[in-house]
Amino acid sequence: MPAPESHINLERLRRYYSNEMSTFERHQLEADALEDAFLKDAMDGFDENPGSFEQFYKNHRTQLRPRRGYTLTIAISALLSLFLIVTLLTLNNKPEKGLAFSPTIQPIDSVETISLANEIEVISPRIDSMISIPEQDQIKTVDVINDQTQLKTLQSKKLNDEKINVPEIIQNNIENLEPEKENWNGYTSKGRAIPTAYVYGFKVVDYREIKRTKENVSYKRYELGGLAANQENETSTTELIEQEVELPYFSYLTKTMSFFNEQNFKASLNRHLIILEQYPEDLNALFYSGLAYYNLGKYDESIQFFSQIMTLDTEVFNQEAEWYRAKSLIQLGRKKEARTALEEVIMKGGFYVEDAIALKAKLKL
Amino acid sequence: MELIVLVRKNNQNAIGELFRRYSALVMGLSMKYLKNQNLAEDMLMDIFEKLPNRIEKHEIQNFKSWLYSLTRNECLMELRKKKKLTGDIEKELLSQPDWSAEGHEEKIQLESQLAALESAIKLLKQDQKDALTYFYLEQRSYVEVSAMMGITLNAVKSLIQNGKRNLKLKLER
Repeated sequence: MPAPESHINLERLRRYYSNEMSTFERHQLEADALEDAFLKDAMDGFDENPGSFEQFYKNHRTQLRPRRGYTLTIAISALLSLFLIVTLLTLNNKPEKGLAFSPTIQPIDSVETISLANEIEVISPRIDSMISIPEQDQIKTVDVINDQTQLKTLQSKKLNDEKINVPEIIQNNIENLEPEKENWNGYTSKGRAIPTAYVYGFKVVDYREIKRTKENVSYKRYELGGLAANQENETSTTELIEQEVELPYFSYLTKTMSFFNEQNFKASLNRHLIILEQYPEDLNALFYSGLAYYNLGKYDESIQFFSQIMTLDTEVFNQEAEWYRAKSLIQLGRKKEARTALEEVIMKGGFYVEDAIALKAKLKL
Repeated sequence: MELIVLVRKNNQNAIGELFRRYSALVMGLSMKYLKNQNLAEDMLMDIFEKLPNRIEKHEIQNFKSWLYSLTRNECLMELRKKKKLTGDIEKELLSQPDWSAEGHEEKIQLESQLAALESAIKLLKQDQKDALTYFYLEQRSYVEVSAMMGITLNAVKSLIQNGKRNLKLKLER
């Protein structure tokens, strides 16, 4: 019989894969996994198949809930069993495959059955024909992560400094305020806080925390034909199956960012453009499409996307967009505009000020 | 032990409790080997549906270790069945450390060996040394180490795992 601590705290895994953990908490779980072969292999499995943990958690959310009191569980189980029996008798439907112990399995809708791991990414011909610029000229993903990590630190420091300057009378009431959201890093839009999260180390706006008219991304999903082992027979063939599906935004984004992390800029761009068709002002798609376009040598497009970010009233990607827009202008040889862009970066005195001064001097702009 | 006894008696609540505690591990491990969400889901269901029978037939000292071995073996059998398992992959999978009850108990206890660690860590290759220092001593996450070293997450994991193994060997000398 396992000791209570021998099994994994599911909530830790959920928070890890939802990017709700601080850096130190992430480290602690990763360190624990190094001492636990089962946990390590399981996390490897989820890491190597982006979105698979989230899918698993959604499929079994009901079964994974902590146990209620014994009497309540029995009562609910009995009621749900009765409901299921009545439903099955009424509809005369074949029941879904499920575990006998769980009378609370919910019907799985079209979103829940999507398996991210089996997807084949079909890239549009327009994007597929693009050619990456030489690696040494690309915006490196590790630099993007590094910059965002440092920006986060500076932002936190700025927030702390501001807190110190709060008048005493307000300070006295701070304890009575609700705690800040853990993942709010101080980015604002029209006075509202914008929650952010980190996916593969990349900063993203956490739209799960923001009310939007819809929550899913619709897209054409391609999968190699094939059946689960228990349904397979000798006549099974392999073919590309196309299906119009919907996926929760954050699941779709996570896989998209996994492509960006692997420097597969075409696949990442392909998926981000699908997001933009449905969410035209999506900051994540705008910013990471801009970077992908840059690395694919499409500077006009990258300028367009970075400029759009700057017109939106938000601080999340503004500094980075301004800096990469200036670099895109330089790549196109539009010196006058590049000089103006760099001067704006310098005048604002933000994170890239020293880089902008150095670049301006180097290029003699 | 009480829970296992209840599972042997096919108590559905007890099986549900084991599912809540261990299903994520079984699912993740299945994903690692099968690399297919549908197959891994089938595997997860299969393992927990047959759990009472299997528990009945085995003398289990450490449930978690037993479940780990069971899941790995079932995944390997599934891969063999699908004829996707080449000799090399099989060798690699089977050569993974045995997570026996003894192995479970055996932890390196890095924190309590800091003095010996400091001298041993100097003997490692530079990249392993850097990765271990960032991860263990500076307590950074994989993502941070990846960004600092300019390498992929998988490379970070590999450096830490290999570095840790080498460190253990050096400490044992």
